[in-house]
Amino acid sequence: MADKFTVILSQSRGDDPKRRRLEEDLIARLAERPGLAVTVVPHLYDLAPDGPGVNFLRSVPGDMIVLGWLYPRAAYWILSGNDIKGRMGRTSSAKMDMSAAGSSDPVAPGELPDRTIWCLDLRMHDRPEPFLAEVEPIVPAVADGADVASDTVVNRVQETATSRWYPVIDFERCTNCLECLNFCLFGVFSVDESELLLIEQPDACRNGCPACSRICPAAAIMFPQHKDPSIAGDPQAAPQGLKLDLSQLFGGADVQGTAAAERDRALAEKQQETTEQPSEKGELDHLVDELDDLDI
Amino acid sequence: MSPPLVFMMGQAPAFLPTDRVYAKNHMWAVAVEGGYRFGLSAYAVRLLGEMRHVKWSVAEGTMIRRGQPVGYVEASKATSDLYTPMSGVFVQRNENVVADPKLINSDLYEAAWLFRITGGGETFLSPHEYLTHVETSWPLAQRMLKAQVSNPKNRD
Repeated sequence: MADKFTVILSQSRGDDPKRRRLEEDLIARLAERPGLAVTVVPHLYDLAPDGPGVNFLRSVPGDMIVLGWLYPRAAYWILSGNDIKGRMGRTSSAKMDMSAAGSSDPVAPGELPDRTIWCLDLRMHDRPEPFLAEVEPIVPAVADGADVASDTVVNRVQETATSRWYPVIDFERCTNCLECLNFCLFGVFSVDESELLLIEQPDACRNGCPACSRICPAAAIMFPQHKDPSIAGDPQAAPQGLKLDLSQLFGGADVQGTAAAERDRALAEKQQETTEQPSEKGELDHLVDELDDLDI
Repeated sequence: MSPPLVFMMGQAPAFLPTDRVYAKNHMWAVAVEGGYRFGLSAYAVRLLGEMRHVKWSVAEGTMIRRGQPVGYVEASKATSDLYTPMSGVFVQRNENVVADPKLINSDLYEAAWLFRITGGGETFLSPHEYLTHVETSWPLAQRMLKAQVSNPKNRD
C-alpha cells in the first residue's frame, strides 16, 4: 500500500469559533479523502522548539502540505528554522518569491532534503472547498478501487502552546549583514561557527517589538503575528523603509538625564497622590492613638 | 597615541580614538586655536548607517548656544538633527561632507569633521569617560529607538 500523503493542519491561536469551525470542517473532509495522513498541531509559530509538534513534523520524511493561519512564506521559514526543510511548493497563496531575492547573493541555505512543502494560508477562504481544490492536484490521485469510505484517524498532537514572539528569518533574502544582531539588545541573534546568522534565544525577544524587521535592509525578517503584512511575511507587500530619528540621542539633552528626570517626576507624582489621600483611620487606629497618648 | 578604545555594538566595533575628547551628544572634539573642531563619533555613525545627505541650517559667523540645532543628516538607517555641544561662534562648517556625505563613513575622525566653533568654558569627556557614557546609555538608547518602531497594537 502506498504511503499516505502528510497533511498538517496548524490551528489558530485563541478560540475564534469561525476559525475553529473551518478547521474542523477541513479536518473532517481531509480525513474522508483516501490516501491522506492528517495531523493537527497547534499554531505553527507557537510550537515549542523541541516539543511534540515540532518533533512530529521533523519525523515526516517526504512531501507535505501545511495549512495554517499565516502567510505561506512565514510558515515555510518557521518550519525551516525548526530544521523541517524542503523545496517551497507552488500554491495560489504562495507565489514563488524568487524575484524578490534581491541583488546581493543570498546566503546559501545548504542542501535541501529532496521533498516539497506546500503551505496554504487558511485566511484566504472561509469554506473548506477552495482549500480542498488546492490540495487535490498536489496529492496522489485516488487509486482505482480504493476504499472511498476511508476512515483516516486524525492524529491530534497533544501540546499546550503558549503565544510566542520571535523573529523568523527568510534565508533566501538574508545577506548576513548582521544589522539585526548589532541592533538587538536582548541577545536574540548570534552567529554560528561559520559566522552565519542564527537565532540563538528566540524567546528573549521583547514581545511586540518588530525593530529588527524594520532595520533589515533585505526585508528578510518576519514577525508572522504582526498586523503589518510586510512584517508578517507577505512577499507582495513592499517593506516599509522606516528610518529612526536619532535627534534625541544627538541633541544637547542627556538621554540618561532625561530618563532619570522622567522617572523622578513620575515618582514625585505618585508620592503626591498618596499624601493627598489621607488614609481612613479605623477604630483600631484610634484606639492605638489613644494608648500612645496615655504614654505608659 | 595609544590604541583607540572599542565599543562593541553587536558584532561591529565602534572605535574611539584617544587623541581627542568627546561630548555627551556623541561628537568628538579636537582643541584648535580659540575653540574646538567637532565631528560624529563612530557610535553615532554606526547608528545612522550610510550617509546620504547633510544640510547646514546655520551660517558661518553666527553666535550659537550649546544645544542649538545647526544642521541635519540623513542616512540609510536613520535621520537626525545635528546640535552644537558648545556655545560660541559657529566659525566654519565643512562643505565637503555636504558634497560627499559618504566621507563621514570613510573618514569620520579627520576629513569628515563637521564644524568649528570658537569660544570657551566648555568641558568635555575623556575617551574613557565617553566610553562609559556610551556603555551605560546604550540600553536606554536601544529602548528609546525600539519605542519608535514598536506599537503593541500591532500584535495579532
